Amino acid sequence: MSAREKLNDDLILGKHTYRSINDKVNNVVLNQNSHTIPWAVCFMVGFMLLQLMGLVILWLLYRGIGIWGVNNPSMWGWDIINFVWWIGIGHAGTLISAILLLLKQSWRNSINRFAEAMTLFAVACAGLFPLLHTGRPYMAYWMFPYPNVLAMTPNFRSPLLWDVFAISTYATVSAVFWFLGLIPDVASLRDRSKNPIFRTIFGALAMGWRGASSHWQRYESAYIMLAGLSTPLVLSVHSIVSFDFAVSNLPGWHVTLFPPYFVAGAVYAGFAMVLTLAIPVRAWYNMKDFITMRHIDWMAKVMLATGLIVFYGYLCEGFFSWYSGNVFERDMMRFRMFGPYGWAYWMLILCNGVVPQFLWFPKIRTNLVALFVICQFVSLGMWLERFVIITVSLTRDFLPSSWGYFTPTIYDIGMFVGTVGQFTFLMFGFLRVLPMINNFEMKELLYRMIGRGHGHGHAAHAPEPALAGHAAGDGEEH
Amino acid sequence: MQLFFQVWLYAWVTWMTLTLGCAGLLYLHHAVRGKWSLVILRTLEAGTKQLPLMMLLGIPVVVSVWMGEGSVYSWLNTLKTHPQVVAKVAYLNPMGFTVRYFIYFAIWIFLATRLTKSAARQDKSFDVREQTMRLTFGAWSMVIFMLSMTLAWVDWVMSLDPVWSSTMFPAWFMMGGCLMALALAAIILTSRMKSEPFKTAASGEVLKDIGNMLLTLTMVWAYFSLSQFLIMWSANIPTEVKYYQSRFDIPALNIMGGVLIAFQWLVPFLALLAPRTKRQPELLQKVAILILIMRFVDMFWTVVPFFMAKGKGIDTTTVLVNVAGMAALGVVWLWSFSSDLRNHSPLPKHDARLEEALSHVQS
Repeated sequence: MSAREKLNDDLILGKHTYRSINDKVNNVVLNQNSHTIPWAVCFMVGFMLLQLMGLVILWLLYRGIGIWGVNNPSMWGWDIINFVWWIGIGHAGTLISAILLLLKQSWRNSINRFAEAMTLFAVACAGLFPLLHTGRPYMAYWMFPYPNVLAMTPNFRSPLLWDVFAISTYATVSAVFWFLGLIPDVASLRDRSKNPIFRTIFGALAMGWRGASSHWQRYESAYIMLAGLSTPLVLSVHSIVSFDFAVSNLPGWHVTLFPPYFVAGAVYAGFAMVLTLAIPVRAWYNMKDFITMRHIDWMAKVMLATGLIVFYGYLCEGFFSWYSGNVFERDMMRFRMFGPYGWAYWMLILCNGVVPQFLWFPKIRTNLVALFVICQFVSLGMWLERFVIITVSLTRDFLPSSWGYFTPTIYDIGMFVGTVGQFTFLMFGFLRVLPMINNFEMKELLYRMIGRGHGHGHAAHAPEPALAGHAAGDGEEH
Repeated sequence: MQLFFQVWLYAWVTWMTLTLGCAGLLYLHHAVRGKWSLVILRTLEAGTKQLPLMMLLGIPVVVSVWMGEGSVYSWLNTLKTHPQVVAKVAYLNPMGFTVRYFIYFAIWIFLATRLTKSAARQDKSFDVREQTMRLTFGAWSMVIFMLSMTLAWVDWVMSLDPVWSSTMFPAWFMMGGCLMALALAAIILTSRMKSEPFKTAASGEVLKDIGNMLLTLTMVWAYFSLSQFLIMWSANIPTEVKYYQSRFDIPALNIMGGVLIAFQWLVPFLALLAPRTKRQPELLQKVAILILIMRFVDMFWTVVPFFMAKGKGIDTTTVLVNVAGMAALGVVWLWSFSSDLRNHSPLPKHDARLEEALSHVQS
């Protein structure tokens, strides 16, 4: 894999026909020999770490959450940090699939499928933490307002309860959205697979799709409606997560800017994860014609923009904690910068404030190695952001007598590494069994590119039009 | 005398919000090369060109910080000795306020002039390098603008209650300004759509995009307002929650708040969701007018209660004087704005995308 690739204008490169796109995307699933050693390594490592997570959870259920580092005064620790981190990562998927669809950004077409898968798997990782944090996950249903003889209702004023609804809605809508988008592609797999077992499974999943125009018409309207439903979720889910902190009166948590700044941070971390996956996967499966440098450049730009908003948030936190003139606010900021967790704060500024500035340079945005490294910094930075917010404020509250220091245990680390494993396992499992690129949307894109490239659209009616090298594809950018 | 400065501040802040909204959208347009904002570019430019005028009109605000006891800013008189005010005297002092005032305007005028001049040069020379320059410079302008504007709204409005602070407030002001500017631009655009070149240039997709942008901004306004309110209400910290308490305690302001929720968010939101509104210029214009009026009401709701003594209601005279002051300044602003708008070609020539759309119809 060469580090630098040239920036292109078209969203599909090379000479492609409908058939060649079809073959390329479907072959990854239909030809099980197309998976190489990198796939096996990632999948196996993911699988092993997943087993580790199983052991940690088993021990946790047996001994209780005391095995984690959480204790008075730091009642929230890595569990909540990881929860916020994972749920944030999921947001890029929804943004790409829903908001960019409504904005008619055609560069979303090749990346939306696996970005949505990433959303689902990230939410699956995130959901584990609050569930286990309750200590009695088998009583999780108490969080729902169901009629019961215990005379117990959840506190509707608590954002923690809103989280339950926000995240369960988010998971449901994302799953339905993802599945709906898969139907036409799964039908295409059903028609092409030779293996009877595959044909049966894909046939069941395709829900009787025949590609009739009535199917397409219903499909399109359902898809747009789900996109409309998902759009507010991009904002609401992470806003509610930020309320978990902001509605308290703890210095460092009680910040009115939190909702938009958390949302921006979520999208920022999410795009870093999409790129982390897309850069190697497009090389391993030779998808460079579909996930082009133009796509990567766009993603890098979105990362830069959201990263700047996040950094604006840090500057505001710094300035306003001083400007408030409140002794507790000012001390909290002093502890963040120069207290026992000062290293984390400055690492955070480096990762989220300084390193992303390299994305201003087009040369860096087209350098895959540099971009991959920056994405790792961003992921680390976003994790540290939650660490700084949660740990510093909890261990340095109003009374010096209740100050403390948070130290994670091996079970905290095991749990975190375990969810990374679960995510990797699911992600690479997905690559093998379902089309990673939206097959029919790519063909639709090709249709539009050819139509416009020739000016009159006559080529689009040809049964197998070949894409000329320079079909215009720039009309959709703004 | 106090009343004069209070009314002046309210009126000036209102028109300043609109001016900065135009500036913000202008920087955004050049940074992302928006297609939809191309047809309203002249409006945004004309609005941004009012910055020097606004700098002059804001002189009384600067004067008022040098008036000590008689100032509208309570950090100079009644709250002078409050420990939280004493703690930030390094920032909140007349000299700092004045110096910063001129720095903000110098920055904004420089950014806007450079972008507008470059676009004007390209209108003549058709040199694509100008466009590339504006992409980068526009992005940097956004960054510098965000930072300077944050401090500006702290100085001008947030410091009216020096014990109160909210990190959301400057961002809220900026989004509100953009909403205001876009509503104004939409009104002007829709009123000119009966004749060319706007009839062609703004038909179909562009009008829909502007409608969608209005929809987005009203939602952002509601999102920011609700977030700030919910966070302050839940934490219930006395120095903070008094911002809302002082407004909720007065029945007239309470009703005004309800009107804002209904007509700056709910009604425009529902109206703009319907595709019909975004297809028919007349309908879109009605919604834009509603939003613009509500923005003026909102500025009243935000700024004026800072001056009201605790427990005192709001009387008709105060309202009338404030509205009159706002209208008087508005006449000056609009007169200068419309003469700028008239002096330039209705549409920019430098962008090939617009030229292409227009040439299709002529041929």
